[in-house]
Parts: sequence; C-alpha cells; structure tokens
Amino acid sequence: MNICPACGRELKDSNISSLSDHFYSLALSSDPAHVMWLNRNISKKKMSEEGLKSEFLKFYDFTEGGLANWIRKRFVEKFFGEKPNPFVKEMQRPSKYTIMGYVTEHYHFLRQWVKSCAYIIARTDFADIQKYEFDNIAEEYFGIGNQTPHIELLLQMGESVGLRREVVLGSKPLKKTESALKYWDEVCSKKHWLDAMVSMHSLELIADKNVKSYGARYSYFMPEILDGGVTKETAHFLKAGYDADQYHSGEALAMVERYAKTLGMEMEVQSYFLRSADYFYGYLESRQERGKMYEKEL
Amino acid sequence: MKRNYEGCALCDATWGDYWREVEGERMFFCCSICAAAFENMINRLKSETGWKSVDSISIEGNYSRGRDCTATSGRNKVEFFFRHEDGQITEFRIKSHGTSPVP
Ligand SMILES: [Zn+2]
Ligand SMILES: [Zn+2]
Repeated sequence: MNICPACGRELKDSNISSLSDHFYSLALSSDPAHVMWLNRNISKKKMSEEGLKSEFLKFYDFTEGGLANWIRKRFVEKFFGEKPNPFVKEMQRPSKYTIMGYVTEHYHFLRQWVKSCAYIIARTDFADIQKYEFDNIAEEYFGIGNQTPHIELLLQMGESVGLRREVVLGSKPLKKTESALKYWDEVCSKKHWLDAMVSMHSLELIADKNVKSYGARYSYFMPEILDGGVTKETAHFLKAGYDADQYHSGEALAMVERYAKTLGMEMEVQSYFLRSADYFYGYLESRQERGKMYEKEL
Repeated sequence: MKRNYEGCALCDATWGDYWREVEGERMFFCCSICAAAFENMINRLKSETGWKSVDSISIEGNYSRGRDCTATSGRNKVEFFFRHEDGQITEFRIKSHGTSPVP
C-alpha cells in the first residue's frame, strides 16, 4: 500500500490524486510535517489543488531513466546537491571528531542494518533476494573468508583517532539516530520486503563512487584524502565502503526496479524510499552532532 | 517589524494559515513550528542585545543549514546566526554589532 512520505500514513489508493489530496488538506490546516515536506520537496509557494497534483505527477515521474535512476536522482538532490547534508560537507575533509561521531552513530546503524537485512530474508520467498541479503550481512557484520567485516573496520577507524571501542560499544544512539533505527526496524519487520529493501539499500548511495555522474556537486569525501590527511585505518574503512556500496546499491536498486514492476509496487516503493531518506538525513545530522559533543568533551 | 519575507515570517513559505502575535504584530506563519522558532528567536535576540524592541529583521538560510540574520533596533544593528529544532533555539551566535546606516 502506498504511504504518505511525510507522515507514513497508508493511503487508500496508490495514485497521485490520493497522495496530493492528502497533502493539500493537511497543508491547508498548517500541519507542520506536511507543510515542511512541501516546502523542501515541491515548492514553498502555495498552489491550487490541481497545480499541486501536477507538481506531484512531475515529482514522482520516472519514465525517463527508470525507477532506479529516479531514486539516484532524488537521493543526490537531497544529500549532494547545492545545499548538501551538513555531515557530507564535513566529510569532505573530516576532522578526528567527525570520524569519532561517524564511528559512534554508525555502530548503532550497523547493528540495526544486520537485523533489517535478516527480516528481508525471512519475509521473501525469492532466492536471489535472500542470497543478496545474506552476502551483504556477511560482508558488513561477519566478514567473508579472511576479510575483516565492515563493523570491525569501523571500530578500528575509531581507535585510530583515539576513540576507544568500549566507549562506542557502551554508547547510546543520539535522538535522531534512535528514531531512524526504530523506523527501519518497523518497516523491515512489518511491511512488504520490497518496501524494506528500498528503504535500506537506497541509503548505500551515500558512498556510491558514481554520484557525480548523477549530478552531484559533492561525493561522500574527496578521494584525495585516502592518500593522506586521514589515518590509515580511516582510509581502509572508507575505501571498503566506497568499493562495496557502489555495487551494493547498484545491484539492489536494479532488483528493486525489477520486482517493483512485476509486483505493481512502483509508487509505493518511491514513497518508502523518500521517507527512509528523510530519516537517514536526520541520522547523518546525529553523526555531526556526536562529533561536536566529542570535540567539547575531549 | 520590517521583514524580508512576504510569506511565513521565518521561512517565506506561503502554504498553511497560521497566525501569531509577535511583538504586538499579527504575523503569518506556515505552521506552528515556524511561529515558535520565530518568537523564540526574537526573544533570544532581545535578551542578548538588551533591546526593548526589534525594528527590522532579514533572514537567509534554512532549517538544516541554520539561518543568518540581520536585525535592527533604532540605530543599532546586529548580525547573528541561529538554528532551531522543533521551534526551540539550539544555536544562537551574534556575529557582529554595529550601527545601521541612517536612512
Ligand atoms: Zn501524510
Ligand atoms: Zn514557515
């Protein structure tokens, strides 16, 4: 069932009219979540009911380039556009506090990540999806063959800038991280596995090497920092993610596109992606906030 | 209070229909959060500067980046930065004090 990307409510019909009408009436009554969503995604200028409907049609239209590219385009606008996410800006040349904030919040993210992927395995009958998630869990969490899992590389990155792993393991996620984790847990445990899949794997675009070819002004970090300017362990972690997330998100988005078409879930998948990206935005802000906290404390 | 926005006093949006009296003037906002943020920001500005009233305010920025502002009261002028979270001010920094040009 399609949801409202601003409040998550399930909408009766999966069409633009029902989505647009929902927004229009809530915007008229000054509902903060819906007004803000329109301000950020459609326009700050109030328009007629018909006008809004046609703007929504344009916003959701993926006929040019397909669904996976639509997701890429929207993701890039939101995180790497003219006004990039503040954490992305900081990551261009990260300080040790940026890295500490990254490690702490991302540790909690990865703990949820493995559960999210496991829910997908449990809730689908398609073997290709199960295999994909299985490999992903192994790589992130347990390591494939003699490769170090990403979560261990993450903790080593923290240690290399002076953040002891006990501190990370004993920490509680910050507010926006916590609310995002709760949201993903709910989607992955209760909603359709394809909604879960797009909600999680679209987020891997954050480290996609190719974002600049989708119109990004920034990439996750400046590749030069891998050759100096950060610790060896930081370079190692970033490079592992950089190399992996690229094919991860690419492969996952191709699957999402294919199954969304077969199952008639395209619009629903778009809305789930949008809502998940909003939570992810807040989660990245938490990384920055945590970094600032370390800077004051240490 | 002279403002640079014609829509919502905080964010310039024209959606919504929320009105609140701030500094004795009935102002339009897109939602209650913008109204709370604006009102709290004005109160903070007055307490930081000791001003009795604010004659003008001009705002540039957004929710995530924070907002750069210029405000005047009589011949006094300050430039400041602020950020809010659900209407509560989470960061407030005066960047410079000065005198506004005589009109
Ligand atoms: Zn809604
Ligand atoms: Zn507003």
